[in-house]
Amino acid sequence: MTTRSVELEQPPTRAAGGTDAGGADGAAADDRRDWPERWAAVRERVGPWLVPVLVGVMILVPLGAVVRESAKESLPSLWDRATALPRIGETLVNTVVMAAASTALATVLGVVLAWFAVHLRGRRQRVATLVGIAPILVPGIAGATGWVFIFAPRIGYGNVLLRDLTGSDAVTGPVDVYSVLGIVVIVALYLVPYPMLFALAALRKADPTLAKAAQVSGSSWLGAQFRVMLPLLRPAIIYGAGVVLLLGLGQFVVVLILGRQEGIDVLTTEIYRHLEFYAGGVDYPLASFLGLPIIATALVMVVVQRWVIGDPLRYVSTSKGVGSAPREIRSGVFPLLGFGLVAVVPPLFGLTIVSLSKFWSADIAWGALNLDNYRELRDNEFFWPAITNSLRLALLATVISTLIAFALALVIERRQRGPVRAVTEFVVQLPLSIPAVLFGLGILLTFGFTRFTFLGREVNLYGHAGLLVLAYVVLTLPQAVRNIQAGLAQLDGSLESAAEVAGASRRRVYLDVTVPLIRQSALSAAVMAFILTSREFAASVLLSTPQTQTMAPLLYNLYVTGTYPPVAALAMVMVLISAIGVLLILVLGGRDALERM
Amino acid sequence: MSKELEISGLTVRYGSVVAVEGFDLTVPEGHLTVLLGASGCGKSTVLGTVAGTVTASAGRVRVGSTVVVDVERRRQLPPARRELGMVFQSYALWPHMTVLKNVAYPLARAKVPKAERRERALATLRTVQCEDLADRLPGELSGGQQQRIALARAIVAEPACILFDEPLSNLDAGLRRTLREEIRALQLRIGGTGLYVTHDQEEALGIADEVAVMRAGRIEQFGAPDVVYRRPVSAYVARFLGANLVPGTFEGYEGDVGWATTPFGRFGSTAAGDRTEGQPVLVGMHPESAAVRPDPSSTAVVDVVSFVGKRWEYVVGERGAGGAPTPGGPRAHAFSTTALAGVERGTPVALQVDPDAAWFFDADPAPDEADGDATGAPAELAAV
Repeated sequence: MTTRSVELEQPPTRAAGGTDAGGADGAAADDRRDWPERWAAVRERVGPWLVPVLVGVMILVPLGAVVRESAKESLPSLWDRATALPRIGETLVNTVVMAAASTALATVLGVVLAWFAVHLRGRRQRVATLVGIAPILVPGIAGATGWVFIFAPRIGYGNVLLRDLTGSDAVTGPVDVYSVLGIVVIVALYLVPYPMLFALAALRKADPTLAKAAQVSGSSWLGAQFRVMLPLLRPAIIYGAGVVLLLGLGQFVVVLILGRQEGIDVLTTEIYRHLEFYAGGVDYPLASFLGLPIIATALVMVVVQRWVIGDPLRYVSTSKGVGSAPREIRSGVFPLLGFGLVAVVPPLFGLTIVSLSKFWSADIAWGALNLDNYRELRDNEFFWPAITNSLRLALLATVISTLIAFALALVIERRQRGPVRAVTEFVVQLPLSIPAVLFGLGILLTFGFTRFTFLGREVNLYGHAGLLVLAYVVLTLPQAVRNIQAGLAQLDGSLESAAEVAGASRRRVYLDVTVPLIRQSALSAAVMAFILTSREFAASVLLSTPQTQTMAPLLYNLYVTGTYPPVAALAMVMVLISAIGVLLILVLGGRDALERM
Repeated sequence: MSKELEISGLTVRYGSVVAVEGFDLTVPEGHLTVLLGASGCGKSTVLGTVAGTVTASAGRVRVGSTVVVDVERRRQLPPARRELGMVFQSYALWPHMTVLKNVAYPLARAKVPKAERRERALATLRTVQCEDLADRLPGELSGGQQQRIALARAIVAEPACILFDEPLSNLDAGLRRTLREEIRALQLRIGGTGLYVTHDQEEALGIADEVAVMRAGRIEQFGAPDVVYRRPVSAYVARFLGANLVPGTFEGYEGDVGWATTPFGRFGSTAAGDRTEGQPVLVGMHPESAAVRPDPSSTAVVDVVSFVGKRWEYVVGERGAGGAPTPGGPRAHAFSTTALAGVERGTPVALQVDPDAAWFFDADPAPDEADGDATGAPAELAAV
């Protein structure tokens, strides 16, 4: 080898005034160099695992606590107590049937709406898409309350109007929001945006010339849509439906609000019943036992989904597809606007009217509408603390979850090979599949009963705000990761390579190139996480105490006392906060920011 | 100081797939070497190991006086410490930085003082005639301008070696040629080593000091462009350079010229190699060396005649039933600067070629050779 002599002869100079010249000063330097390099190699191998494992622990430990809790009592005894619960069979059937029915309805609606949306152009498409995903923007607990005001059988405004229009002299109906069907439809309306976004992403990628080719080959236009475009969408539809089914199985707040009238329960509400202090005592083992089938189902579904569909990333992209846009069908605006009108306007109308009225009654006292309820709310001792708690905890959780999500998205996007990617994707998908109530319960069981002395101070984790933040971080992770991942996927990898070759360290590459270029998607992800967190109910209601109460539990507490006007006013405040957040996303993240959710 | 690039014994494996095996290459200072090959041949992988974006499984890479990869000693320097310049197919200009900032970035990372940075970046922009674009954002520029800026960024720190990853593939034909000439001129002026990857043979021949034609992770042929072009060593290289390959039977030698009969005529070659009579053989020749001669007794006929501006192109096929060329049968191209009187579609013709411009290769190529052209090659292995 002549190399060594070359090295010795050549002084380590670099025209650019280089930082170092590698092993240029001979074999000794080479050896010195080797240790940091070996250490770097170890770091390279271990580093990617750190955050996924940390997050995995954050998620799996609480779930483990639920499993462990149910093991505290003997299985036969729990089984006996569970089967002895009133109407438990009906609850199980309800859980499955209602989830399946809302999934079916939401998927069909979502795909149809996505199809119409993709056949619109420019501004019309953006507006129509925004309207299509509008239900996500109304907090679930506020929306459910709003629907009560519209379709409560006796004095819902909608029912009164329908009875007037049909000249019926019945005192109830025709619509019953408290029925299984009512709940299914309302849940479906809230789920529609998910299959719609998945289908939209797939439709955008599908080359419309494929349909044209089918037509040129003799297929009718409609035939081409069904025989060519629909099969192309199949993976996206299956994936979207899987996500929706899991969300449906975990559905909680809508059933809790609407089901109590007729005693309609699903597993999550049944679990919650055994955790509510004022309803017949707290029974952690039984609640945990009831959660086991949900955890098992979620794990199986996540695995099956990955196995059937493979890489979910395929359905994240918002790339605008190849070739020409499909032909425009302008009248497609109407189904989308119609959906928005039906799904969003009635509950908001109900909330508005009741929030401005002294009582909720069948007749609207138009002349007597006033802001008294808002004034009362302003003076309510729980109102401002709830708002500041919600906003502060949501902000903290959002910052943490965005940082973690960035690390996780990098692992998924930049480590194409190896098990670390698969593990990370699995970890990220879990919170989407497991109901927030169960996470809340798990976190409560893990930390809630921990007391310790720290620096001479007694620390009691029960009701500690940190537990809420932990829950929020976990619950917002899937969306945050997907959003940042979509940003990274659109980033040309050679932009980062170029910086590396230009002499930038890994950290500098992230700071100088990666982060500035995905800033938009990261910011809109953060705001979306903030919106969803600020109104979170299921975990909050278990983990908050009067001192750490947030908006949604306060709303629920007001609701169960039956004083509707302040409930409506608070719901409107929550809607307003979400709306401000959405506007912020549109300003920060650009026009199609919402579609990346 | 030496700016030589030396790659020795380089092997890259992805799991059980071998992308590059036992690759040796030395690029002397001041030289530009082109790795030419179909997608999947491993050329981008080689470039990636030099750049540091691909992990080598074995071998050694030295850039100037720095050993950047030495698998035996577990050394694989991160790209940042390799002192390279690189030009990407997608330009890879950072869209959120101005042109000046893009170009000055390598200097910033090398801790050059701020004032000097600006000075040098502007001077480099001047050499690519883009000084007036300094304050613009890359998104506002045309593809050609962007690639000039990317070129400036690659050379601004005067690296020992500049890597080119299909830099002209995204540009249209006219611009491709201009920029190719500019890259060549710049590289000659600054004198660094260049390693250039492309699948375009014209681009490769036009810019290279030496061409390495790659196939299945190895170098199939290495040499000066004109030598490789005039004397390809295998049917694979010949086909990749656009030559005709005509199947035939070896007849024997007359002096140092070997002869073969084919459906397209009888060909002699001074590069016939050792063969025995009756052996199947592939006769290779460039279309511009082949002459078309009407011959009523020939078993070949003209299939297509096309005029492409600077020349007439004749596609000749084997004569099948009814005098028409056999569909799917072998085809040969012949170029002529003038239209040939009386030669049109269906005319029986024979091809003629100077024995110095024809080469004989073994028939029965390996399966991957049969469709080893630019389009039929196996999909490129992910290089990152």
